[in-house]
Parts: sequence; structure tokens; C-alpha cells
Amino acid sequence: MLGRNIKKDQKGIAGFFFDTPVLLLIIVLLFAFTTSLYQMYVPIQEEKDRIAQDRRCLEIKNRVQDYDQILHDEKDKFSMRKLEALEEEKLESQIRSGEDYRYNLTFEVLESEKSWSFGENLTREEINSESGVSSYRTPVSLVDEGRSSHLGKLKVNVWRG
Amino acid sequence: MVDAVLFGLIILMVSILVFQQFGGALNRERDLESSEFKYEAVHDIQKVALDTIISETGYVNLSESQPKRMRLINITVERAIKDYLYLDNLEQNKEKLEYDLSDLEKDIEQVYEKCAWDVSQYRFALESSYESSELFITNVEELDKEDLPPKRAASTTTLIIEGDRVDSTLFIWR
Repeated sequence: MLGRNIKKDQKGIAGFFFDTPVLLLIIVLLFAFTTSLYQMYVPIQEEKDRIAQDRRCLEIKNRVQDYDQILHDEKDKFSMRKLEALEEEKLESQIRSGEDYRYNLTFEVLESEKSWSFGENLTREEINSESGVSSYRTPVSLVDEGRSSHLGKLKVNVWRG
Repeated sequence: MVDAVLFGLIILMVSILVFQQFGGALNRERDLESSEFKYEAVHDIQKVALDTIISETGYVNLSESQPKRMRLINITVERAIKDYLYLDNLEQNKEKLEYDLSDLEKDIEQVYEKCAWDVSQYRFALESSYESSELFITNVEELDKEDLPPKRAASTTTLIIEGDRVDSTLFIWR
């Protein structure tokens, strides 16, 4: 191979991996192979992390919707009065997100500027980071003191701490 | 030696193909567990939309000499859908009856538009039918119910009109 004439009795002395051009070719191919594996692995791992984060986002959203006594006046209707009075710490202690995740919640009345926020603030770096933020936005019914119902929005943000 | 090189190359190519297939399988799984949350969101949107109260809506009875507007105060969207289907069916079965139900339809659409699009950024279609009447509402122009996209999520709620079960189905997609 490669124009060199290895005599019959020298076969096996130089050996396959001592043949420099072939060795270089193998190194290049192995490099390409490991690079392609790495490129496949990174997005798969990122996606797995993202799915775990999304699940945690849903979990927190479900907990918020389930807290009847704390947040609701009627079934499935969030009380503006309670949101107004609710101390942030109380909600934090009820809705734990686990050590790996941080979160915040926002309730907003669609027809007005009124909104209530709980939890941590997102920094600009966290918003722009690759792992990103899982966000769930859902319509909710909010009742005021006069028992009138208003269409509102619940937004849950979850990100890795 | 040439055999060894060829053998090595074949192993590498086969390995790459296998790993690409493996990665593809994981990507398909990712699509199913999409981070868009649509399978969860469709139930929330449907539940809240049906319970939402329309402060004032109505319809016009055109079958009398003077058109008569019927006002409906503080009714839920669920009630509005039932009224629409009931009146539309009645109109089609009685020659002398004629209703203008466009306000009722517009107000139902506005609530779904707020819940599905303004809040959650989903395109939507609502489909419901009762005997000969049919209600199809969407925020996509010129979309027929046969043309709904395949990657959609749906939630069906059963309504009762005159003792009959009527399905109202909400579809959402990005």
C-alpha cells in the first residue's frame, strides 16, 4: 500500500498502526466519529434537561391551581382579595420547587393593569441562557370582592437555579 | 492491511448510522413530549373559557314585523353556546323563524380568542353541533374543519341541550 514494497518476511514487523499515513487517516476518521457522537449527545442531553424542567413547570402550575383554601374563593376561581393579602413567604413555603429549580408566578387581570407576582425575579442572563426558561401561560378566572368574575392570566416561569 | 482499513471504515460508517438512528428516535420522543404544553393547556383553556361570564350579549329575532333584540345578561360561554345551537336548530326547523345570532357567535369567539390566543398564544378552533345546527369558530382565516392541522390538541366537553348530549370540542395548535 501507498507505493511501498514491504517484503514478505517483514510482514507484521512494521505493523498496521506504524504506517504513518494510514495512522493519520484513522485519527482523522476517529476524530470525525467522536465529534459527530458529541454533536448528537449534546442536544439530546439538553432536550432531556428541558423536558425535566417543563415537567417541573407543569407540576408547579398544577399545585397553584389546586390550592383551594389559599387562593380560591369559589371552585376554580382565584380570589383577588386573597392574592392582595397573600404574603409572598406563605406561597413560597407552600409551593416548593426543589433545590434545582427556581420559579415565579404572576396573576394578571386581562382588562386592567392589575397584577400580582410571587417568587424570584429572572435576571437578563437567565432569560437569555441556553437552557432557557419553561413558561406556562393559562387563562384563569379571578373574582373581586363584589363577586364579579374577571378573565385573567396565570403565568408560571421555571428555570434551573 | 487494505482489508483492515476497509473493515474499520465499514464499522465506523455503520456505527454513525446506528447512532443517528438512535438520536432520531430520541428526537421523535421529544416531539411527543413537546415543551409547548398543548395537551395540558387545551383542558385549562376549555374549562376557563366555558366558565367565563359574558356581561351582555344577545340575538335579534327577525321573524316579527319589528326586529326584536333579546338581551342576555351575565351568562356563561357554555350557556351562550347552548343558546346558539338551540336557536340555530330551531330556526332551521321552522320556516317562519329567523334569528340573527352573529352577536352571540362573536362574543363566544372573543372569549376563546382571549383565552387561547391573547393568554396562551395558541391558534384555536371550536366545533360543536346539535341536530341540524353547527357552530365552528376559529381565529385562523378561511380554515375549514376538514383542514385542521394534524399536530393539534383537543378537549371535548359534553353539554346538555333539551336532554340531548352535545359535544363541544376545542382544538389548539401553534
